[in-house]
Amino acid sequence: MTEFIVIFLGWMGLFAPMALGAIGSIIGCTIAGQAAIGAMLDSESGYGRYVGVSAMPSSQVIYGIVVMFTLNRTITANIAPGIFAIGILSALALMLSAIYQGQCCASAIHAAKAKPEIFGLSIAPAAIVEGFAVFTFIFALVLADGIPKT
Amino acid sequence: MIGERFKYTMLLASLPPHAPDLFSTTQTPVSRFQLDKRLALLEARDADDLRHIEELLHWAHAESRTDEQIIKKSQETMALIHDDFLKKLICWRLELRTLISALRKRHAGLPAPDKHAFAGFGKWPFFIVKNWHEHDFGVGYQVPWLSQAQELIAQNRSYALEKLLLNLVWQYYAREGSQHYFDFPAVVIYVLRWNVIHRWTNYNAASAAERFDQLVDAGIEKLVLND
Repeated sequence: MTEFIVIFLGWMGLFAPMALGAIGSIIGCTIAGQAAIGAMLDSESGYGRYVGVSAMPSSQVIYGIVVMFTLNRTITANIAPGIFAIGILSALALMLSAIYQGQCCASAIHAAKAKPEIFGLSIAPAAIVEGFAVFTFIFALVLADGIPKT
Repeated sequence: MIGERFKYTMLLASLPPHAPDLFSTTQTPVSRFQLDKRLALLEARDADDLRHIEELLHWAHAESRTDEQIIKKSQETMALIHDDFLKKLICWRLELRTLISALRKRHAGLPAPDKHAFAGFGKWPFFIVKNWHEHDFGVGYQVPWLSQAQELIAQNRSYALEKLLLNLVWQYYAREGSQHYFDFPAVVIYVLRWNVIHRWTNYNAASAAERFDQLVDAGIEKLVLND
């Protein structure tokens, strides 16, 4: 029974970066997308860049997919704890970064609509959040390399 | 939690921002017609809350009623509002009106009210009755603007008083709104600030004179045509 639970957790850790990354991207893109649609109602130009910014939180699901494939191997009781730890923690970081990046993007769109000249600067916070997601992604890959393949 | 905080992202992003300074504003950032079209995105419960809040603060509901009736009706309407933060927001405004009404009554020469006889909101009626003859009702340390308002009333400077009060309300809403970006309180604060601008722009003396001239010209033109 214990082995079953350990292996189950290993599988959870394997799929978590993809699933939680997707959940984060869904929420982040929804928040930013709604701001983009609202901004379009109140402006005469710049529609493309609003939509572009609102898509920023979609990168986390891509990082999640790559981490999932990197972790993918035959799950045994030996390697399951490592996969669970790296998978769940990177998944949580990716999910939260996507959600909060969505909030940054919504604020950026709202601010840039009122003051178009600050558009570049207004997306800096979202880019910084993206940087943290990239850290998570890179170091999850580095650590995943240390887990035995079988 | 995220859902509530970002419930009205689209609605608020679709509204033009308010100017930082109320008195530099010459017109509302969006017409009431357009604003109402955007507010159609509110959920039924929130739309009801907003309607109650606007009713409470609009002077039309106070016409031809006694103070006691106004307060009773306001308390009934206040009980219908669901959000505690919004209740606090409205209460602050009604308390401000209570203090100003006390200053005006005293300036008009009304005698000191009997114990529990002063109709008003919040904790102020107690202090107003107790300290009727003190220029700031003994609460100047809690309400720093009260002394200035009292001086303006004493000098019969209604326009300056109105500016002081509108600015107080404007700044208060800006302060309270700084923690709300895309949620329902942010929508309410936007609408309340819109109402303040609407009121201020309607007070504009130059616009009023111009409008008056237009009406007179139109009337004269009509008379000439009829002749």
